[in-house]
Amino acid sequence: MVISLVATAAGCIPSQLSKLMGKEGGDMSKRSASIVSGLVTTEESAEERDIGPYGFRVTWIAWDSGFRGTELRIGDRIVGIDAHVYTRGERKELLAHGTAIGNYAESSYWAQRGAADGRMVTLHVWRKGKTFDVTGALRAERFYYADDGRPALAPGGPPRLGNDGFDAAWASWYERFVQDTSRILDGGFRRHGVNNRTALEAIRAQKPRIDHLTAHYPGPFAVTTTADWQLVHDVLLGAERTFTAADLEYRRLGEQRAADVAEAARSGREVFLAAHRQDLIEPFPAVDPIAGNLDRVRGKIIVLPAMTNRNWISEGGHGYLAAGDRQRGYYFVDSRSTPFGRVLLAEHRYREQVSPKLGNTYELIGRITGAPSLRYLGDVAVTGLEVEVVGATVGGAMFVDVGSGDEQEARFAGQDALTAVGGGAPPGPRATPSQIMRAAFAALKVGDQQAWSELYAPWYLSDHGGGRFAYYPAWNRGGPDDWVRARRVILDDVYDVEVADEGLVQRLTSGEEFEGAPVIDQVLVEVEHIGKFPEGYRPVTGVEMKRVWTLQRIDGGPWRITDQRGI
Amino acid sequence: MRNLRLPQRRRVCVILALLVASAPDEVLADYGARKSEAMSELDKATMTDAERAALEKALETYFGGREDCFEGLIAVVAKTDEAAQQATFRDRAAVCAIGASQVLDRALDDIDDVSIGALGFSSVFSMQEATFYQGLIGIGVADARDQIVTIQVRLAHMTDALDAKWLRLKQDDEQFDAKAAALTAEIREDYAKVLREAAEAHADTAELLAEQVKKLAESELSDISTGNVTVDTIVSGVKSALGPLITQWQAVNSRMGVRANAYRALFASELRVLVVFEDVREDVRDFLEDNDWPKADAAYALARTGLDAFVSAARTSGQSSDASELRGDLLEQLAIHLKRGADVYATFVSRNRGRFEGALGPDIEEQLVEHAAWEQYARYIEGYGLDTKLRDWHQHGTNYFNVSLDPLKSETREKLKVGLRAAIEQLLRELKTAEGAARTIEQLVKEGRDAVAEALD
Repeated sequence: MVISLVATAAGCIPSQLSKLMGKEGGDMSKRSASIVSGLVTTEESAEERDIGPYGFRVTWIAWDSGFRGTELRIGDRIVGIDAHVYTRGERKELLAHGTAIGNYAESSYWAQRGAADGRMVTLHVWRKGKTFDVTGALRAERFYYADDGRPALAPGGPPRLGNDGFDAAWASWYERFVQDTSRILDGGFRRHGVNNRTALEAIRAQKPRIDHLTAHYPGPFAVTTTADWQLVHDVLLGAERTFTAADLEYRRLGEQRAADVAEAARSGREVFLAAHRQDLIEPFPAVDPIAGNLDRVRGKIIVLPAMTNRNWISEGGHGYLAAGDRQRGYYFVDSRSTPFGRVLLAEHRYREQVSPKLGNTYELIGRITGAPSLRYLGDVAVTGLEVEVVGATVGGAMFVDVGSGDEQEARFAGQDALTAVGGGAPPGPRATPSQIMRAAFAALKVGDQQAWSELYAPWYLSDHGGGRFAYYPAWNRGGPDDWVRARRVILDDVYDVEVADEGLVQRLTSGEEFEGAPVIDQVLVEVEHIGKFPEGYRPVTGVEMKRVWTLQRIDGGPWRITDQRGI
Repeated sequence: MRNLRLPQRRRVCVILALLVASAPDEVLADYGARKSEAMSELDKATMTDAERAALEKALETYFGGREDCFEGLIAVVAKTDEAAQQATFRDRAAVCAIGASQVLDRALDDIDDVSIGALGFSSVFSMQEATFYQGLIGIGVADARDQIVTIQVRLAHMTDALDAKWLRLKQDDEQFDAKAAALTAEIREDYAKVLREAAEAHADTAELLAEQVKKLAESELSDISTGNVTVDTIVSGVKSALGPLITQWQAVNSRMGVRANAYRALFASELRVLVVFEDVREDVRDFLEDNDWPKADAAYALARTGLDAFVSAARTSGQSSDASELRGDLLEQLAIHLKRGADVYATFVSRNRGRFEGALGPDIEEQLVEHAAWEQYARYIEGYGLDTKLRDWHQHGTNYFNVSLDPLKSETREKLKVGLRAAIEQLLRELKTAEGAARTIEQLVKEGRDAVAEALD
């Protein structure tokens, strides 16, 4: 309801403005000699490899611009005015003089052409591969005054230097507001790395001032500013999504899988201990490693108390786990020992295949080697017995029999039952970039690392510009090293990843650069991550999530992701 | 010509540095060459006064920020904590590079119809500065800092750890040495006492036996019964005389068995101390594979090479001069780390060379093995000549304490021999046991001495 009211009000701006301008010569506004469009633009840089025609991207539309209420939007690219079409050939001149539309010296362009206030101009606009015309009025720059004659942001106020009890003066507040609003509406998520939830909090904090503006300085300025505030708010908040239980089934699957493995860990540990019952002894009090009878305990199995980060000690970068105390004696586990390395590798596999969330508690079962050991604990040296790990429960959720598996790695309990987790049929060779991205996120959701990895490009193109590039056909192997982190994010903060936009295909190499050179096409795909908030399931952005993805294909083959990120 | 004017903050630094002579590091190098060069180029360029003024103002602002950037980078390299700084250095340099690429972007915003001269100056200057910073991003000076500081911190930690370990090993070793000495002293005392009493008991027994045999022989010759002296009373008398000695030998033999076990345990403990000592030496060898000081030296040398390349890649004379100054400042910070680390390494070496690192020093070996003490124990045990004495006493007993039974009639003599053999049988058994125990202890001490000596070979 609020949105529609604001939109309606915004549509009325030109007529309201004209009413106010009717008072010109009175106290509220004065015209300057400068004729402007009221737009702010920037030359479309090469950041997206010059896709589309040369032009100037709209980054702001002033509240009193003649283009308010037209089809023109922030982010649109103006590629020409009236009969004139911008070309790269005139780039130097345009930049040197700043006379392009929305540039700092735009007024001199119009002055040379004798343009006057109210002259209608037609802008040729390019937006996502489509070109259309927008017509709007040029206007003379205005100086506005409040009722008491003080300089103001708009006719009747608010006064530029007044603050009405708020922190900053209206002029500096509005300058900041415009800057932030422009940044967000001008491709904020993909271009500026905006964190939408942080920005949303910031924009909501402006609401009292917006309400004050509307209440005390009603008029077109208040209406447009409120509309801008609402628009930014809505963009940051995003549309609400509805997820069914089936949509979130992957999370339950992940939890179920973790529960199954945890159960396997419990029973696996019990079976393991039962099998070693004959050799089991109580660990404490530990035999004195120097003066005690080591023959009595050599080869015996002990269950060490649960150990956490506090049990780790480091000697010159070499880590040990220490169990015990001065009264009862110590046991030490060498973190670089082969058996403990097998525990760590199993832990890594668990994070890859079951859940990235795994506690750092180690409940170790070890065999006393009979070798005494001297370690530096705190600021004293203490002796203890070396223990070779034979079994371990990690984070209370995973158990590994160190002797299981093969020479390369041990297998955690329940690992063998985790095979069939496919997230659906792999995308075919003609799959679109969007389909590839959807397939990648589907595989990520169900934990199918193999399928996920296969959607990443093994090649690497290093573009040096000017037609020079290096191409490595087998640069990457097995997908990016980001699987565990990405799994943690998709099972924790992110509930879905949707494809928001697929860019235009761009040819990077023609295949004629040298003999055997590949033809490489590239496309950018923008995605939207969905999080869970008090306002429901809505978009979330931030440094943990990649918004724009790059995909390439070789010689017309299947599209593959070239970014080394997982989510 | 170098610009000798210092910004306000730098002037304060210089004054402070002059006042506080102990903090000469506060005087940083002058990065004014590039600024002078740029201002000179600006003077020569063809442009309007307004453009020149605008660009000059922008350059002043830029060079102030540039100096802050350099100081920030130097501060990163100066950090002494173990946290890695390479990424921070790179990010800061990247931020400076972005600033440099945009340095004059807005300088001419307020000028209508900007001249080609102003535009050209602005473009060339920005490009040259951006290139300069790109070179700075790639140098590995912070990476070298990270390596040097990490090695230094680890060496310091390891020095403390090894001191504590040596203290612990020495304490354990001394404790066992004291026990061994006490045990040896107990054995000496025990043997001394029993040998003394045994000698007396043997002499008493021999005297008693000789006297009784004489009386019995005289009685047999005169056919006059002495009444009280018979074969049975002689045997009974000898038994009584030997009884306390046998009991004492039994007690001594029992104690010697326990002591032999105690010796065994002490040797085992002593050997374990030496095994742990060797393990620590092995740990130190592993540690130095990753953290030996030459690696820090190598990191420093690599950083210096990178900085040299950075200086030589400078596009202009002014940049080259400032790059050289910056190189000096960065290397100075790195040298401080290197010097501090070298001191730590020197301490590490001085405390551990010959102990936990390098060939074992003779003093360390002697402290752990105590050859002299073990030799002394062995000599103590050997010095008694227990073997010989026990064998003599055994023979003494077997020979009826060297008392001649010949004066007795044949029949009486044989009867007495049978009785005496039964009476001394237990003594002989205990003497045999004592002989075995003495041999065992003697053997143990020798074996222990040799094993301990060999443990550190």
